[in-house]
Amino acid sequence: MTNRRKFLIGMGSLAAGSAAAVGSGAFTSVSANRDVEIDVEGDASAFLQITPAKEGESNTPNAAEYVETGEDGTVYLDFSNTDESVEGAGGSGLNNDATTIFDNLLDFTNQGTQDIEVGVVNDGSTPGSFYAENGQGNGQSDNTSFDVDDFGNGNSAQVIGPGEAIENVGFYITDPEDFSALDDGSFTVTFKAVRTGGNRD
Amino acid sequence: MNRRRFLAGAGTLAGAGSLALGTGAFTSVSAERSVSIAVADDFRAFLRLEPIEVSGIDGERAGRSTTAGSEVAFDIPGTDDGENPDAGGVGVDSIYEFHDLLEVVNQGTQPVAIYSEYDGDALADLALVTDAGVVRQNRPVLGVGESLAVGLYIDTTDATTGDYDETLTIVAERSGGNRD
Repeated sequence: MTNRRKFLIGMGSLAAGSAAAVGSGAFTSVSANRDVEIDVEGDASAFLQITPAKEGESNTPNAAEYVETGEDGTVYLDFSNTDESVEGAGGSGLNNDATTIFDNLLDFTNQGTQDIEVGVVNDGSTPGSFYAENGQGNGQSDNTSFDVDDFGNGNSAQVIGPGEAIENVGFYITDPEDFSALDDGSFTVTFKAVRTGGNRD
Repeated sequence: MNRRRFLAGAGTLAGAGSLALGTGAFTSVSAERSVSIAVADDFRAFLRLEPIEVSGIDGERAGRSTTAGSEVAFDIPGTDDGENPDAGGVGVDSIYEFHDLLEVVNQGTQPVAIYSEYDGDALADLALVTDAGVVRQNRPVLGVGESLAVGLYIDTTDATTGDYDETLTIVAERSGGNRD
């Protein structure tokens, strides 16, 4: 009887010693499932908000005409024709051998928590160019560039803080033949936002 | 004093055991052995997972990574005051990276490679990301005691809008030889 009690006491100290050993021990692999709750939103309410350019409460004329929102919530640009219900309208495409400029198409708003640079990824494979407000694609030096090549440069890149927006981004095209050469007359552009500054935020 | 007595007792027990085995045929042996397992919270386990308290707007916590009970969890958008209240979530047809959400520390005794697995179908991809990029074949190796800041890589290509409860499997695997 007394022996048994002593044994149990001994077990107790052994278990404690064992647990300490486990705490510093080798392991071959750990696989841990963790919950990730993600809300996927349309462009209008995402961290990087992309919306038709506004003029007061309503869309700018160009945004109203050329910017559409698909069923999946993404915006897209449609330059293929104009609204024929508008008196005198009814164009169905770009002029050949001409430079066409569309001001005031899109607003980009930073709905994150840090400063970001925003631009378009332009690797030269797609026709035309995007530009920030009233730049009409002509400026690398006057803060109008919207080209991702300028990322990290700090001089010409568009930097916006939380709640701030780059407004009235436009699109221009100097070689409309590039459009005609596309398979179905459409292409995809990639807009990009990258936090500015250091590593750990 | 107590400990010495216990050791003597254990010796006797083992002797009796081998004696029994030595004498006969047997159909089966069911031998129970004790395995001592301590289940620790993420922040003190072998693979230590600890939310990084990213400061969001006005220096408040964004709450994109939290410790719910003993396990870390992720919420995009974050659930704390530092999150931008206008942000409904990640956009569709986009690739989002949220860096520095979680500190992973190797508290074992060998180097381990870190990676993640996702087998859900709501998203095109969900993975760990570091400042070196999304973790795929290039698995970062953590030496003993080393730590790494990881975040989430979220690919919403062809996803539909909605709120999703997904599971990310975070794996640490001994890197190198066979016997450990």
